[in-house]
Amino acid sequence: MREEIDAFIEPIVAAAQIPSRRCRDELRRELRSHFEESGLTPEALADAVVRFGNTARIGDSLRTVYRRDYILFYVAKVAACVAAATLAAILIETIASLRLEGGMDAWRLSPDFARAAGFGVFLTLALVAAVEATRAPFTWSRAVVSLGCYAIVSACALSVTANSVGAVATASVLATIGVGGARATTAWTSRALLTLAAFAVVEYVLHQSLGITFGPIRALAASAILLMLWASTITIVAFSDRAFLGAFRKT
Amino acid sequence: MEYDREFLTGTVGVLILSLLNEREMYGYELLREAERRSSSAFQLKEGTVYPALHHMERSGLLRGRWRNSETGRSRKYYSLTAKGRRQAESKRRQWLQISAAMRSILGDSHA
Repeated sequence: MREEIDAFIEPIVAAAQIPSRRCRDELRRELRSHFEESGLTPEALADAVVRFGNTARIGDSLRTVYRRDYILFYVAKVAACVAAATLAAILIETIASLRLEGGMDAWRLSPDFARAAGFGVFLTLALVAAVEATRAPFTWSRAVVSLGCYAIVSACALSVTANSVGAVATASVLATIGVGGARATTAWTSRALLTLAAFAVVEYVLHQSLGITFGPIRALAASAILLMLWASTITIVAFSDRAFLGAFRKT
Repeated sequence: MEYDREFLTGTVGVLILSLLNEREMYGYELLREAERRSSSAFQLKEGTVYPALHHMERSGLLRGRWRNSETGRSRKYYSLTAKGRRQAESKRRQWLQISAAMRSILGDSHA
């Protein structure tokens, strides 16, 4: 009988999307106690189930009650994801900017490091914003909030340095391509190759249009670093998504 | 009797607050008490009452605590907080005014 009660209760608890494990356990316990009060014969249980009503609708009602907790938990997940992806981007750009100097015995950061690291961080933010905005199932509210946050960060960057317009525009284009690439195929190798090729084309065309000497090999090399940023961000997002969903399954 | 859902919207909160204003109760007891006191006119759905109880608890109107009954069964008892008591009184006044106004429109023969 306990299994039948649990089979009825579990979809309600799952649909409620309560982030706190303690609250979920308490809801389970309360609903279980309700059915035990109704009687433990098969007839009494069947009657109680009918009286209880539609599980999906009850789950929806409870989800509305715990909506604020869910949103806070979701925002915390995105913030943790952004922090981890930003750190990874800085680390990748640091490694990529290391140069051997002074008779090959001293490692130095290239003079371009600050600009490259800034762009790397910006690309990371653009990627996270694009992933969140286009996440399935699509909702307008999430898309508007994600892109709105990205627009605010972009506006802040532009207010600090007016010449960051190009960086913002490039990061936005690359992030769009990057998210498209991440969803184009399921195989990692083809995803990576597709994204690398697209990044290289954008880098090459962009520099050519600005009249900057930037050959195809250099475009490919620069894109390889961007690809590492893309891969680390996509991996961190996937990991945080799994951790987020896993938190609701813990009993 | 099956009532129009439109009539019952908003009554669940008033019912819960009014019943808990008398004494603390657990969910199942609250449902049966509403049914008994209304001579089965109000057969509330459990699926409506539990989300409402949780909403009120999170809004600070109710306080829930687990307690064992004489039979040893563990139950979550709800009681009103000070805020809940004020809300219960306010809802009660509003309800009496509305029902008096409705009676004067419908006429006593229909009340």
